[in-house]
Amino acid sequence: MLKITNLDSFYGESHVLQGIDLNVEAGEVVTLIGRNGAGKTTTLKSIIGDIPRRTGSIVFNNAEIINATSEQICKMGVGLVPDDRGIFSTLSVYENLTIGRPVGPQAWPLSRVYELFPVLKDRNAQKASSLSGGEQQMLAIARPLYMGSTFLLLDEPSEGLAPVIIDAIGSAIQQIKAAGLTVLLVEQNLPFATEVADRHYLLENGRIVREMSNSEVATEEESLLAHLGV
Amino acid sequence: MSYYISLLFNGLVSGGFVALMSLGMSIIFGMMRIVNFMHGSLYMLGAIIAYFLGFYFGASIWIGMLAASILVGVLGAILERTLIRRLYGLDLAYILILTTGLSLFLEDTVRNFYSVTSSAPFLVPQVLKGAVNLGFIVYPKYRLFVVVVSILLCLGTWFALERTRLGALVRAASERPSLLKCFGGNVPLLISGSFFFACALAGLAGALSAPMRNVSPYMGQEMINIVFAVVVAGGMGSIAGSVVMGFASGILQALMAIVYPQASTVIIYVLMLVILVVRPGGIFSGVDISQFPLHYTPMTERVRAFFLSRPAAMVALAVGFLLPWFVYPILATDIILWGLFAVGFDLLFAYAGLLSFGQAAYWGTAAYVMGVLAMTFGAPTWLAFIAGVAISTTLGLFFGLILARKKGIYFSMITFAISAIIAFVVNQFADYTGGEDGLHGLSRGTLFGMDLQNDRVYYHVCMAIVILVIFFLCRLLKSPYGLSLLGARENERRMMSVGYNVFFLRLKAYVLSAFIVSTAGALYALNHQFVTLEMVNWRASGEPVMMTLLGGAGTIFGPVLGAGIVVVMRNALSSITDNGSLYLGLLFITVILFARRGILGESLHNILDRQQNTSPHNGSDGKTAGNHSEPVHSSKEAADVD
Repeated sequence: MLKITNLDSFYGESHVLQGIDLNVEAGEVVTLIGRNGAGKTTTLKSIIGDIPRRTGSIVFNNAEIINATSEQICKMGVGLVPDDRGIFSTLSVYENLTIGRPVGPQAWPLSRVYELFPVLKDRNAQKASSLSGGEQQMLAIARPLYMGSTFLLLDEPSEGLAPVIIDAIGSAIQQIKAAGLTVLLVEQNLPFATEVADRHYLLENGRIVREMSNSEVATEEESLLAHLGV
Repeated sequence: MSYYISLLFNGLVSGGFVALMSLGMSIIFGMMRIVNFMHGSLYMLGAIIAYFLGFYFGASIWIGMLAASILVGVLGAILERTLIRRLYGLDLAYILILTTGLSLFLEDTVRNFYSVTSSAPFLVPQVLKGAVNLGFIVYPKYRLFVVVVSILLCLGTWFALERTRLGALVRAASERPSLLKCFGGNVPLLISGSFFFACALAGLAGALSAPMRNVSPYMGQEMINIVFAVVVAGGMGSIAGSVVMGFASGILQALMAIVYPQASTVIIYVLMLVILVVRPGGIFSGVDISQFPLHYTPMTERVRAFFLSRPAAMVALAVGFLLPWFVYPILATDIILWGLFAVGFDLLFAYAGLLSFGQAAYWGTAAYVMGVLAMTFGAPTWLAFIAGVAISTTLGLFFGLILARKKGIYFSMITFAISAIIAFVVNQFADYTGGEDGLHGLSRGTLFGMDLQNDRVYYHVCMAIVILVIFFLCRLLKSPYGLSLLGARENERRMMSVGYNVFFLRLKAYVLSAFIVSTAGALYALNHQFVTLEMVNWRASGEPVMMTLLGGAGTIFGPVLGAGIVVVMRNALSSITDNGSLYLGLLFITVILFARRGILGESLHNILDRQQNTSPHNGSDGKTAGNHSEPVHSSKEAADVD
């Protein structure tokens, strides 16, 4: 579904991603793990087109999107859940949820979104900034579903949340997977990552150094944690 | 009683115009963090369009309003797409100069084709003629119409922004434009659309005012000052704040007209000053501008070192000595004194990071105090001069205590308000200051046996003072104080955390700037041997901003060069063409778009920096089009990458 070959990305002068190769098949949940600054978020931003300078090849659903704009990429079915959750604080919960117009037949109707995250229905008219962290994360995940994205980019959805909320988010991701969506997940929380994902890529200094299975991550958890510094 | 009510209604009428204008300014600021200083010219353009249509084609106010809003809106959108867009994310000063340049250009172009000053009552259709009896008051129908239209438009805009999907998109785009793009939002279109709408409101306000106000090419100038104050006092970028303050300003002015008519124009500045001191963010919470870094294109270390070096000083000295041989001495003196004024401004701007819109307060105060002492109390010139500079500098210390804690646009606005209040005070005490006439017949006197009445001698005395000040400034900027001031400009928090008192650093810079400007002002008054209101006018505060950016901010000699260019151009152009300000406007636009370091700064940057460093450094600056959240993001990422 997504195939990245030799992707280089830059912030001004600094060369952040140096030849990333990865691929994600339809229906998979794949994580990117790596320490702070390895280029995980940058990879997601490069896919959605939020990095002005990027070279190489990103093929999504057989279309080359390396030169496409964020708007075009989003309309092709890529949905972003940013690391800071990307809530528009001056908008209400409902306005946030519906900020992207539904595109394509995959779009979830509001009723289905509310079924997954009932709290969003209750808080409908509230300002989104008044939600708790976990609720904001749910809203952030719900947005691309409403829009009909088939491929989700999730940037550390478990970050800064209470364990019970992390479980709820994890089960939501599994339901999303069950619904046939594909997910590329950035995660530092290894137990969480192995619980929801099929495969893992280890990033180091802007390069993919290893592809790992769930069992490899589980057996090497100690050394990985030491490596990640978390 | 009905007299007071009708005054109140009049307040609502003029408040309505201000509200429509401020609403547009606020939308533009909220969306793009741009302070649109050409908004007043757009208002004027709207009035002219309506006047023209009514006068030549017999159009009614309906057609006038429609045509004015569409044409002005389209013009605004075109200017946004072609010019203003390039400045997103840059320091306020650049935007000030660009939009002021556009303003000069528009006003002068209009004046070329049309320079009558009269209102356009012929626009009013039969239905709106005459008066209507509201029961408690008989009031002209057209004025009532203005009140109703402006209230409806403000409410409608508020509704559209807060209650519709389009409004949600606009709010999202002003909050996090790059994120909205990831949800398929067409941010450039939203920005152009908002610009169109805001400019259309200004055009419409202009058309609406045509039947009752004097339509002239300069009618926007007074308007923009009030609107600017209203928008800041209401809370920059707050829609409700700008509308409420807009109407409040009208009513307040109407009330002042009963109590103390002379002060009705200045009351809005006093109000703004009080609001900003008591509630620094304005009455309503607007856009959080502390989160929004304003990028400015600074001198590189190498260029700065060059300006503080001996060869640069030698060249400047040579130019200084040759100057009176090329232009007549009074003009030469004008150049170096405006230059000194600009240097004083630049000290604050480029080194302390504070953009002052009100340095004319000191330029004028020193001149007036000196003038009053010499003319009314018969003090000898040297004593009057020293007293003028001393009192004016003390005033600077007093205001500095309020100002040094403020930053960004709030600092700029308070300086603006202070200079407006000083101008008012000067005008109020006409017995001493001569009011509109100013003070004439100052004598330069003698100094150490030199006859200062001789223009050439006077030039050299002034030059000696300018050299002294610049020499002192060069030493100061190389000193630990100068470096810590620069440090505070770059990163205030870091300087605080290593134990510097940033407030005190800035206060010193402010007082020093006031001292330099006061000296220049008093010398300037002696040069012409009179003091006029123009010296405390807001336009006098704008001059050093233009001169500094034209020559090159932070380059010491750049502002003097800029002063030379402006003064000589004004002088030369006024004898060749009537369109002086048109060309000046074009010059500003060109410099801001193509030579942001100023003429001197940019050429030295090309010579000194390019040979050392071939990679284009400024490739990315100014390209953050509308990406307000971008700097925060990228700095976080950059820190991650390290």
